[in-house]
Amino acid sequence: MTTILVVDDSRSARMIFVRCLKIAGYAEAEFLEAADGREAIERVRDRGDLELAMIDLNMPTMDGLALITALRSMKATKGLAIIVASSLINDATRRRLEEVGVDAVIEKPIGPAALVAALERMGRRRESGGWSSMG
Amino acid sequence: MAGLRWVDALDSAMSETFEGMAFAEVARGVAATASAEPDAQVWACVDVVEPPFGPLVVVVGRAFAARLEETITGAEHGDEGGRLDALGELANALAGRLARRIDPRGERIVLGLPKVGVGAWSGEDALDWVVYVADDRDPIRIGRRR
Repeated sequence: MTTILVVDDSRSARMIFVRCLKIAGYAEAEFLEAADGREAIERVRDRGDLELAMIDLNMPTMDGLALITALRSMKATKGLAIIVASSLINDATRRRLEEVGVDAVIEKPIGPAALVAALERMGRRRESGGWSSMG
Repeated sequence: MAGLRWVDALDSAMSETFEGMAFAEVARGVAATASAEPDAQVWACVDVVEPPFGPLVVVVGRAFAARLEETITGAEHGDEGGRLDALGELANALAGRLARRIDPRGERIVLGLPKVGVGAWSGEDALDWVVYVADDRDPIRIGRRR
C-alpha cells in the first residue's frame, strides 16, 4: 500500500490534500497526517515505506522548509517525493524550494487538476532519471 | 500603496480563491455594515508581513461559513472548530494571492498564521472594508487597516 505524508497546520487543508490525492489516483493510499514539522518527523521516523509527502510551508513549531531539510537528511526519507502546497509561492520561493530538492510546487488553493499536473511532471522527471522514489 | 491598487488586487485574488476553493463566484457588493447580531458572524485574520500590507480580515455569516466548510473540505455537519479552520485556510490562500498581486516581483511572501474567531471583529472602525457577495446572496466583508 502506498503511504503518503500530509503536513499542514490546518485540518481543512489536510482534508483538501487527501481529497485531491484520492482523486489523483491514490484512493487506496494510507495517509499519515501531521500538523507541523515536528509532528511529521515523529510520524515518519524509521518508516522507509513512504512514497510521497505533501507539505505546507507556513506552520508553527517547525515550518515546511525546516521539515523538508530534515526529511532530506534522514536515511528513510532522503529520496522521498515531495510536493509543497502553500500560499507563500512566488518565483523566488520556487527557486529556493528547488534548491532544497522539492519535486513540485503548487499554489494554494490547490485542486485535483493542479495536483494531477504536478504528479505528471514528477513522473516525467522520474522517467528521465531526475527522481526515483515514487512507485 | 494606493487604495485603488490594493482593492483591484483583491478583486482578482477573491475571484481565484473562492472559485478555486469554494466553487463560488464572487462580485463586489453594496456597502454593508456589521451584522446586528455579532454572534451570527465569524472572522479570520491573516497578517500579510511581506510585502508589508498588514492584517487582512475576512468576515462572513455563520451559516455561510458552514457551507464554505462543507464545500472546501467535503465534510458534512462539521463543528464550529472545523468551520473556523476552513475560513482560516481560505483567508490564508486569499492573503497569499493578494500578496503576489501587490508585489509580483517580491523576494518573498511572509504571512502570519491565521487567527479565527466568532463574533464581530474588534476594531471595526479601524479598518477599511470592501464587501463582496458570493453567488448573489452571501456577503463577505474584507477589512484592512486604514
